[in-house]
Amino acid sequence: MGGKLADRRSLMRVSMRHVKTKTLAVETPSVRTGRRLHPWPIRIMHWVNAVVMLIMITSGWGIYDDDVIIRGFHFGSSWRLGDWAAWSLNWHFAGMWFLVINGLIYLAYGFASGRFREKLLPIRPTEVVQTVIDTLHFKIAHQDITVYNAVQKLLYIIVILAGISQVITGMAIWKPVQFSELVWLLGGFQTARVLHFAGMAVIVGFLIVHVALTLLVPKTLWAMIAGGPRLKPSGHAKQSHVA
Amino acid sequence: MRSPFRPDRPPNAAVLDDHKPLIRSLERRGLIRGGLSLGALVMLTGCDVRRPEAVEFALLAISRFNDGVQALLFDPNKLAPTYPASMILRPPKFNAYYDVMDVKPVNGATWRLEVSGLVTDKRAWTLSDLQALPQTSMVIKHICVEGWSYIGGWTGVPLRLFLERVGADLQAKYVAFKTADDYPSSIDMASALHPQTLLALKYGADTLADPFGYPMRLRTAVKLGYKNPKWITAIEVTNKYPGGYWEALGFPWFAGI
Repeated sequence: MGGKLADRRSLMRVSMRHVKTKTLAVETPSVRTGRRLHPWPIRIMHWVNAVVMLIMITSGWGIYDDDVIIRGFHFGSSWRLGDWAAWSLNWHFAGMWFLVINGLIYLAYGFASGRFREKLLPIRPTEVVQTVIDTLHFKIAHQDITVYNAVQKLLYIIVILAGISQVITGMAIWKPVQFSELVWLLGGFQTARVLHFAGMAVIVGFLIVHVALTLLVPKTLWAMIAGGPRLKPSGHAKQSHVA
Repeated sequence: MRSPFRPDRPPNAAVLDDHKPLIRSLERRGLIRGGLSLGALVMLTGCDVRRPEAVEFALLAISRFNDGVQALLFDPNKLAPTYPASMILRPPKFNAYYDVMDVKPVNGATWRLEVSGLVTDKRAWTLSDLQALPQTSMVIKHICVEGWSYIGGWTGVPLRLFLERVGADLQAKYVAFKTADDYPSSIDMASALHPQTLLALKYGADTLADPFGYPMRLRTAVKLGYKNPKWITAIEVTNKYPGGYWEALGFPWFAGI
């Protein structure tokens, strides 16, 4: 009964905002059924990844500094993990296991649970453009944090691909003889090394936007800790195009 | 809920009263002691805040685990890519734990190569003895753990052939090296037997120059640069982990590529 009332309220809210949404959020706490926005496996994997990514990025800066790719561009010692190259390397080669194992479970979960399809697709180019324009006019819709806008979807897909790319280029420069075919495909050892560095830059760029937006909308941070609002039990596809 | 640790009968309050001064003095002493230990802790952490012992221990444990994984990943039949002789960098890049100006040249005429450990023939080798053995050439990439790389051309005695000549136990775990510049190093037997692992005597068509290991150095295509000791004076076949110069400072031992 409570569920029905909540349905109607949320239907009205959505139609009034004229937002075409895939998923309806039911924020009424009386609804006890249904998944949360971020089920517990997602939350655990997110925070494991957050820690491991920071380890990989800062230890990578320590390794980078021993022989820089961009002349004159160093990372200060306070930004590097490991007090010199040997320990940066040991951090990196320890962190890689946690990154890969956590990442593989995340990908398997994302595909198997339908979360990727539900949250990240479809992306329409016109929506991307519209969201960018809206954002530039400081019109960021974030009342309903269960629906990602087109730019969010795009950024999440980019960072997932960047993470996969880091593992592939990382394997190439870790074992350029054992995986010599992979190195060849990537255009040689030094190219693979630059790609590995570029992948880091993409992830750091994402991280800056990601953290900035989280600070602007703190309830998204709380959602990644506590799980966030519960979604409708019937899933996603049925409720599309209510507006 | 009642705590399961609380006694069934409340203790006699008179006992507590009797010992009040004692308890108070203990607390006072504890406070002083606590303050002192806190100060001591602050001084202690001054030693090495950035690399606590427990973290170091864990990282080295994972590094040893990684050595094992790398040994599993190593394919003894997989050859490193080779390049045309025209791509050889001349002179090669110099790298050591000291500056090129501090290189102490070795006299090839008096130089001897000691052989020890699990081998049947322990006689020392001269440079001409090594030159008399069958030679192999390869143009391979040198990859440094720091990230830089260059293509170099090397000629010398395959280490496998040398180990067979001295009757080494090829089932042993390690081949260890001592050098004239105090740069101990060691590699696993599988890598030592790889066809692209040479006791190099020449760079390109020329005798090795002094800074690059004359009269003899190791050059293997399946390890990072720091696993290629120069000015080798002794080879030992052993089952006891020999370690190495950078390994003792924290770098991974296997360092396969």
